[in-house]
Amino acid sequence: MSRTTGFDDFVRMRSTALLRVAYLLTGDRHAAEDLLQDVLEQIYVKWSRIHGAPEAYARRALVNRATNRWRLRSRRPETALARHDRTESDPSDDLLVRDVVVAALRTLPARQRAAVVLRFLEDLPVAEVARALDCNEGAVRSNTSRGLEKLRAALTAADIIARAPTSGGTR
Amino acid sequence: MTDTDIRDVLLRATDGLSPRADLLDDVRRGGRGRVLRRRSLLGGGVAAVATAGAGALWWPRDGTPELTGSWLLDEPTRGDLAENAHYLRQVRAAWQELHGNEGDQSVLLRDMHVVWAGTTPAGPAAFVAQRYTGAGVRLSMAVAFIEPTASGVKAVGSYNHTPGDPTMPCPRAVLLGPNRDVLLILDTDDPIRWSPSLRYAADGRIVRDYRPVTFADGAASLRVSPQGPKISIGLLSGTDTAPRRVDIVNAVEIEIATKGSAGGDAMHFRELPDPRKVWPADSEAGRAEADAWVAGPLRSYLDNGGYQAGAEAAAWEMHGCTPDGRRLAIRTPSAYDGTRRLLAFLGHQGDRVQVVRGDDLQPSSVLPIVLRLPDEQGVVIAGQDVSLRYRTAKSGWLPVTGEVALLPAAAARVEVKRKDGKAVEVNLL
Repeated sequence: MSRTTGFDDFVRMRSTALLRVAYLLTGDRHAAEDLLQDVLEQIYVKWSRIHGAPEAYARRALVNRATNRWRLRSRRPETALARHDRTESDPSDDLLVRDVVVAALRTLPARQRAAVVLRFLEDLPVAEVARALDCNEGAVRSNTSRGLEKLRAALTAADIIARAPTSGGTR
Repeated sequence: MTDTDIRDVLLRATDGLSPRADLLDDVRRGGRGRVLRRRSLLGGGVAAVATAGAGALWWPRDGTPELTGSWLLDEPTRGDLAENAHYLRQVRAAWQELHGNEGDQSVLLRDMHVVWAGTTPAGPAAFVAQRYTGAGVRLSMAVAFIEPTASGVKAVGSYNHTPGDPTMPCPRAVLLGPNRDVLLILDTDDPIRWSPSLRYAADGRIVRDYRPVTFADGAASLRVSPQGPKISIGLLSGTDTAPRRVDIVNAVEIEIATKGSAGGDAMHFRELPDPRKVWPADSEAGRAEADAWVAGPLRSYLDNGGYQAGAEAAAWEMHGCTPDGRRLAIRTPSAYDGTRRLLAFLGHQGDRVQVVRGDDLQPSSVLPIVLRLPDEQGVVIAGQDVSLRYRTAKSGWLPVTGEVALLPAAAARVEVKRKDGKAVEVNLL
């Protein structure tokens, strides 16, 4: 078994989920990619020393770095999200949702944003979010509650839910 | 707007985002690059390398830097060479060599500060710090040890440090000298204890004799046995109940430079039977809870203050439920000799956890894990790319589903059939 087999599997299986977290934490596609790459490089170097679930380590590193607002040396010029990520298959409603959600998340303090993203995008239990944010569960509940309140207000103001197609399902 | 609505919009906002196809290649290239950059610095053969270690230099997205003080930057230089202008010029030159390129200088603020400069048994050494630009919330700095080498004074990599950020701690220890037999530790007002070597008790627990480090004028330098490829010393801060390993900044590089590899730790995560009876229904949550559950008793089997490279063999982590309804978790911590211990943890939630040690992991075996549990709770077996069946003393062959199983205590033999069709029988008694 090579040193990197487990690491490769980890990247293949988890990088999409981690990229989506990074994206909502940074609000910028390229910043998210750079952030994720840097965290994965850090994990690669430390792979033999990371005991337990590497994803928890990755989440914590993502949150810390996004919270600190440090950016890795730019691999590309930074671009605002806006329409940059439009693709042929992007329905305009989804683009609007993306813009509004990212703009709304940007109004939240970093730890509230992280708590909301990890609780509701990743569906993590409170204890796991507490690990990622390095705080107690009470602080997670408080940050989540406050963040949700602001996010709901912003999304309601943008009438975003009314625009969402009715999926009928829950997650 | 319900919680489900919030989930839906977050999912829609990220729907369609996926990593670049070349992400893994880039990560591996970048990760190796970091190791190699640090390794090249060890050999002193490469000049003007950007950065390495816990992260590359970062710069801000926007805003004006908000800088707050740090004793690393604000206090006078300590050490017996603090007034030695000639040596301090050499230190500055080594730092400039590392960070002198235009890109790095554009983000570094103010002058580099020599935190400590002093004499060690390996020669003169130093520790330096320099703040760099950042938007907003926290002060961050680039820090490095400066070491004597055959080709002059060199920086031992360069590391990001953000006070208060547990993922960017301040490096405090380095191994110096051509034989890496001098341990230099920076005094950060945090008591540190060290151990020159380790041994194993009969039950597999690690035994180390820790003694306090005595600092003088900002640092301590200790003679140790030559380190590499294995590093025998241990360094801890924190309390006895909550010890924290003090990283030696060049430990991994020493292993690589002397052994050619930093070891490997591929992991196999598996679920044993009926995990949901005693663990959270979600597999990831179950893993996390199992990690937390075994953390305390596992600590005795881990070299918490040491710097062992991971064993080359893959680790296994499993959790499930015993026939009598107890929690069961399997862990395979690596040992100093490069083998992996095989440990089973059993107990009801809230009760004392029982630890059972089996024979060490047999990575080259068709069945690397065979562990008979106490109290007639059965036999844990695990393999890869195999099909299994077992028999008792009185039965014929019975089927096994999957490659991992908890067989009944009466199981006497297991047949392991590999993909090539070759079958091997393993005795379980």
